[in-house]
Amino acid sequence: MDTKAILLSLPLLAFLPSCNAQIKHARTATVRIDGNCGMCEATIEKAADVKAEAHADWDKDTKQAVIVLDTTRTTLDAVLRRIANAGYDNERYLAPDAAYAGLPACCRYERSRRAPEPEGTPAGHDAHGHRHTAGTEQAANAAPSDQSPQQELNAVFAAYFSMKDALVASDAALARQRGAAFDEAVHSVPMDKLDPKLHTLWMDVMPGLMDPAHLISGTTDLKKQRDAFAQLTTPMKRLAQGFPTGLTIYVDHCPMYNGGSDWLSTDQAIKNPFFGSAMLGCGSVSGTIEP
Amino acid sequence: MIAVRERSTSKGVQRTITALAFLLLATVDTDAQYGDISTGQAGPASPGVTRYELSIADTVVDYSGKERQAIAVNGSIPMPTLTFTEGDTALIVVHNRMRVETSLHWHGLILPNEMDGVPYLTTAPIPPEGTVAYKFPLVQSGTYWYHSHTQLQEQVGMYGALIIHKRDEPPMPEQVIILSDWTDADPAQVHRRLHNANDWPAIQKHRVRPGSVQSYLDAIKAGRFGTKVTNEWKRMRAMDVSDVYYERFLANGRPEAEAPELAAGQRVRLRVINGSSSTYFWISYAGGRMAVVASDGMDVEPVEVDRFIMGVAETYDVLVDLPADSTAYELLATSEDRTGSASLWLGSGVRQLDDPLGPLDYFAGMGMMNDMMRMDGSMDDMGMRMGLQRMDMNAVMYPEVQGPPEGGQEAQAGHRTPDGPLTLNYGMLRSPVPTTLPPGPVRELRFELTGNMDRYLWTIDNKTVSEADRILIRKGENLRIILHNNSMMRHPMHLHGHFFRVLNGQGDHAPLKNVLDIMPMETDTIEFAATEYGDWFFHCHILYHMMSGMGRVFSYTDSPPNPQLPDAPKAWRSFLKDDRYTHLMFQNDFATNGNDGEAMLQGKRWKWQAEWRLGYMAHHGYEMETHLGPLLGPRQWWFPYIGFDWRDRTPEMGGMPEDDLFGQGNTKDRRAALCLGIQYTLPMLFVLDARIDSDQRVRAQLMREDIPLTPRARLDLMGNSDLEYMARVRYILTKELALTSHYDSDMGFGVGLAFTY
Repeated sequence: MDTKAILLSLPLLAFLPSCNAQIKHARTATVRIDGNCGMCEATIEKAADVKAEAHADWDKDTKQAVIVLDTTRTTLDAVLRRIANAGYDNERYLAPDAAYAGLPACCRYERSRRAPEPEGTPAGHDAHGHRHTAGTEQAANAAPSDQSPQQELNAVFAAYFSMKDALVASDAALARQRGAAFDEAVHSVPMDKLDPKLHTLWMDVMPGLMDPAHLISGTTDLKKQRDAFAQLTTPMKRLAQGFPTGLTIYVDHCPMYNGGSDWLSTDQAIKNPFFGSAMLGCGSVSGTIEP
Repeated sequence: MIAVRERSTSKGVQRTITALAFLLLATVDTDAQYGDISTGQAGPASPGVTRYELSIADTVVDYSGKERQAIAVNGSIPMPTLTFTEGDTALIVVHNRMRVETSLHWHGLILPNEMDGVPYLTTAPIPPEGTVAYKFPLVQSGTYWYHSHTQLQEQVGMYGALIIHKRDEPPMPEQVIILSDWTDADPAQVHRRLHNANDWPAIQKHRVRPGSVQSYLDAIKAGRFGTKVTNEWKRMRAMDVSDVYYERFLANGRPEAEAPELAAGQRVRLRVINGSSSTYFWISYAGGRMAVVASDGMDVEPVEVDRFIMGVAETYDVLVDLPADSTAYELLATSEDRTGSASLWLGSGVRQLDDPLGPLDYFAGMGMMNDMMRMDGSMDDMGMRMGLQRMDMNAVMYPEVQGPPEGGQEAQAGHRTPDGPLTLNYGMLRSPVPTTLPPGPVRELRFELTGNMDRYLWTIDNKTVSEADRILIRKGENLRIILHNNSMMRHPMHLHGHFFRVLNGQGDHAPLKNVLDIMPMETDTIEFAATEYGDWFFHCHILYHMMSGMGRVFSYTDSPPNPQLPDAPKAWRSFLKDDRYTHLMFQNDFATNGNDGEAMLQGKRWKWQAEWRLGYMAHHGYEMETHLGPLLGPRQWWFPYIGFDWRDRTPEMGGMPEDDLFGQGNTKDRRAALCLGIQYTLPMLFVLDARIDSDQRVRAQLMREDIPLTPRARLDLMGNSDLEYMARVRYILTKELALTSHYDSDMGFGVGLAFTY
């Protein structure tokens, strides 16, 4: 589609001759750009403005921007793309998810331009705004069983995985918080209600869970949290092998941490909790525990 | 795309054809055998044979506002997409309408050796105005491509998609995307300048991504002065993720391609091909995660990722969804150096942009490289067993510049999983079927990938193709190759005519590939069964690395003679010519106080250089010095030479007799001496030059050129025991021109304009 066609296809667009002092061959277009407040105005105009090429004036009440541009040097399409990359949906472009999410809270306008995703399509949103094409990364707490003691054990796994995610993100405060939730989950398992086989297993692994859980919930030192987290792997693995979690659990191996350490994940892709972003993809799947 | 396609699916006949398919490649009598090609009409139909006519011709293109020479096939760049069905026979008739010879290589295809299309190695080149036919059975399915294997023709348009469908494939919407890179510079000049360590491409990148030159000023701004000094101390000039500056990155021949016919709710198979000459691309999608289902044509178990990197010549098939109506979703292909991107819009309507990738923090990568580089120029992996792309080198070596966290914690958590995007690596590829090799003797080979960035010498075990012997292999044996990358760049290593297993921890289900990307310091193991005959090329698929000699030839013993190459020794010599290059460099500073210049002619292992200083006044003198010699050592830091030094100067009246540092007097006024000397590159890239001449005078000299003060300013320094010294600052204006200002002990102060070829 050439520039002309793009411009003609914009519904609220009108070109008028203009006599802007700085911009030669100036044309003016009026375009609707979604946004909320005065801060949006500053961001939108900054994104649009290029010296001697384009200038925008956005009105927060009408949501209309008057864009003046030198059509020999740029296109309206390019200006609208820059505005979208700054976080603002418009007639031509929808902002990238990250750009929208990066806007200050007061600027997060309602994204009415995004067409609703039809029900029943394979794509759905997860908690982080990512659309997944299929369910390889199921939430750990969406386990199949409805029996209460089972649910409590599932909660242990859910808490473990969310704690792991906090360590992957190298977020010590979050890891501490989630460590406390894990500690709580471990203490909340009604061991007297577990069936005998599971009861024996639980009594076996529980001591190995409690100390590290206590450690993680008691510090914001990432190094200490990760050391403690590494100790959880063996008991958690045994638990996963003896208890139907309803999840495919991957045993991942990091050759570099303390001479080689494992962790559990529900995600086939490696996201290393021992080093975080520095070596995120470092490691390999060493085993799989089928549901 | 105006290729003629014709197909029949009579299975009985097709079997016969396959059985008969001892493929002949011959100069075709177009009228009699294949119908009237000039009108594009197909000849008599053969059942089970899919036929294409390709016409290769020079053309003129304009990608960036400048008209440039390029090569188009059937009037199109990229070349037409060739589509086949597994089990059929391909018949591809190629007309070379150019004045130079050419070739076509069918990348990733299992075919008879003489159809492989490597000129002089497996197949005769297609002569100017010649017509040849390639005919071979299609014994596989998947996403492949084809390209010229002659010189640098691939860079200027000779690449196209080649798709083979499974016979029983359930229909689903699909879209082919072939990515490429475009430079306005003549590729031959690009290649020559790379060998002269010309950093003009970095200056061009700097205009798009400030900091790309990694000058001292950039370092100071980034608070990384010490890092830069350490880097030069270890004799490195800069950290490059890619060598060439490209004006455009293209998807299906355009910066932005479209597939508007795709509708919401559809799951689409994207067949993504990296048909570029030297660009790695990051692939990401605005409509959600991508399920990777095939690599290099071979199926893998689906794995969902947010993004993946494509080495040059790799192909990936991914499944994506179009989540909503009236929206076009961006498939974004960003060059690894982040200087540009190409997009494909899936669907129609308002355009959902994908998150653009940020610039790279070169100095963080430089710091990391400093830690891993030993003083002798080899790499130290510090005990980490690195391989299979598992440690995301882009995240480690070249982290993205982190912007200030806008909107606080909440916003940060809002758009991404807490651990950032999920990135594919080779460890995640798993074949759906066992890929174990047939029983046979196993032979293990070790290859060390080596390189010299300054001289752009890329090698395996420090030898180029022409410097090494063919590697003899026997049909029936299994080859296991352990590759270690001891160079500073990543290399996409491609094996012709075979698939190899990548030993990635998936056991019997190791994935099959034909291109393996290997990052600096990584060690990977691949293995393949020797099931063919003839000679097969194994090389780095970065075009300029291949043309510099980075490869080997696997040669089956007891192969039948190749009818394509009746004079085998002569053909082999022609094949080896590719990396037997010499490159000329020339520079002259037209200054107010004289002419000051140098010329250099160099091959892989030797160089000849000449320097001159020609004053305008007799008392400034005229001098000329020339050196010829071999370059020694793995990093070529040693340059012993024989040379000649000639000077003529009329001393000024009343001038004092001069002496040198060693009390030998000197002969600066009149000298015509042979000299024997050695140059050695010291830390900080100073070149120490010690020599003795035929008058038995000794001279020692220290010189450093190209100190990058700012993105465009370079400082040269020189001093020697004849008490001569020089300092010069150059400000680079264009590829060829620089403003200079220098002070010279003989000629005094001058300003000038320097021309560089």
